[in-house]
Amino acid sequence: MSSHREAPAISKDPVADNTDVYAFVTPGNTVTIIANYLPAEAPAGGPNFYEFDDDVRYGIHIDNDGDGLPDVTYQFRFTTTITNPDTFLYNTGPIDALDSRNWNRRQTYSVVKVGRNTNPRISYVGRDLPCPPCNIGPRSTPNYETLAAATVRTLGDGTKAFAGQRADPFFVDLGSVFDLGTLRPVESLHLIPTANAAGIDSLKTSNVHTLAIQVPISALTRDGSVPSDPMSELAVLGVWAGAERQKAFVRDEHKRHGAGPWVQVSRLGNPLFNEVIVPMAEKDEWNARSPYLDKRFAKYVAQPELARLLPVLYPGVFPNLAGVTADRADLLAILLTGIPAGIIPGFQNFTGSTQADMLRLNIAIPPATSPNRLGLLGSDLAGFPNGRRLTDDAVTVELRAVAGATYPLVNPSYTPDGAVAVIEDGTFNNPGRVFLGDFPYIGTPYSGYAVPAA
Amino acid sequence: MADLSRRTFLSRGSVTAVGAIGALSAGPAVLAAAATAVAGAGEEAGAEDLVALEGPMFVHVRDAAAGEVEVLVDETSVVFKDQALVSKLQRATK
Repeated sequence: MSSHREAPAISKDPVADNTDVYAFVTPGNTVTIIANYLPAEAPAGGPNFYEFDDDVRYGIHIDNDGDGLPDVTYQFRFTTTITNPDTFLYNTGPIDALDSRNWNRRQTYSVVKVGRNTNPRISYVGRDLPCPPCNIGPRSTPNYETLAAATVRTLGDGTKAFAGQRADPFFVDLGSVFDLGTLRPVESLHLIPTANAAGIDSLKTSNVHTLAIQVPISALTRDGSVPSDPMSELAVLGVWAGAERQKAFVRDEHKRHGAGPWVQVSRLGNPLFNEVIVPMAEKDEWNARSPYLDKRFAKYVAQPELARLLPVLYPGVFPNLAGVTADRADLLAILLTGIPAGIIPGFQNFTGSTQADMLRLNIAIPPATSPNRLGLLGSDLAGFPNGRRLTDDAVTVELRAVAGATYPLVNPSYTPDGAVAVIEDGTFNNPGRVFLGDFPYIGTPYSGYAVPAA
Repeated sequence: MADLSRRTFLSRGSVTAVGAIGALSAGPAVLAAAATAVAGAGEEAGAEDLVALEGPMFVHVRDAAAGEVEVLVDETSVVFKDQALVSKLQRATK
């Protein structure tokens, strides 16, 4: 999965597990950034429904000068409250308002904005902001969309914010890709062949917990401008998210105590970076590091294991890819530095020589009127890997890129194998995914009543 | 600290351990003072020197052989060497 349970340590700490990050330009000269946590929530998972952890510090980071360090960070902390100590229930009646007395266990959150070069450096921009409840069912959470929409708030710096349960927009056929890399639509060509079949979206009824912000572009650029020239270095932002826990933690009878510096336990910029690029033995370390230190992992991008596996798993299908021995400068650019000017006409998202896994968004590229799920691979400059939209097919884009689709960008004499243009896991167009027309855009969570646990 | 036993150490937590390195008050600012206080380690702090903490303070013996100790409080930590303190902590757990 993009980053759902992608590393050994964080797979045991789901409330801190950052599953996906999205960043895209939105109306009103704003950028919307969405960071999801808590992978593969079963909607019916009560009576203790999913929630953020009061002991985790969640963060969305923006780098505006290309050094892989955050220039602007939004930190989220949560507070959980039980309003009725005499019941085992999450709710004792319909939750029809944010102040409903029937809602027993609820969360609020605060947002701290940290500016690297601002005065003051740290400022509270939101306190006691409400989260919606989980989507339980028509009796407990009627009019869920209205209830959730009522939790969208405008912070002290003009940023819109939302924090709560949402439908996971990520789609992938986990059952196939983790079964020795087979892709159902073309698995007759696999080393261990079976009949071709349609892809199965493993996350099509899963929820996540979302942090979403919509920030004026002028609040994120290094000079406070709203760039209109896509070729300007001011137009590119690096985005990633993460989660931190305090270094020491003690369970003392029924209480829990934390102390010491915050240490990062999860992070995510580009989808699938830690999942597919970094060897398992180093995944936990990758999660603990900051992007500016990613040079250490560049060798795994330059010689990706998946590119060596594809010709083995699909004999005779990738002969050209099998012959590539040079470092993959195309992937190094896409994932670690951004694509420099002169490669794709009218486009760049280059952030300089510092190798850092960040989702790079050129904010001078306006939203596409007809988005292509393949983003840049589909000649849609507003899509992944120029930022990432909720509908972008990150799995197919990265699969095809690793398989050689983007190698001609740096080696024009190279011809991608014929299969590269058609390989995919077959999970796009899941009919269950519905997005909102306005912030926070990400869809209403699946109801526990409608999607019972297996 | 004469009555310090394993049970009282565990129940009283790290505040007891802190007492051995000098008088500390709550908050990050105290951490710098902690290292200074350690320079004079060997002096026993009295009960009157102990100041209530707003939150927990954890003492992490990072390297017992080297006497390296990390004190974590609030959102910060400080590392220093105090072999006498480490020896006391080790004795307290036996």
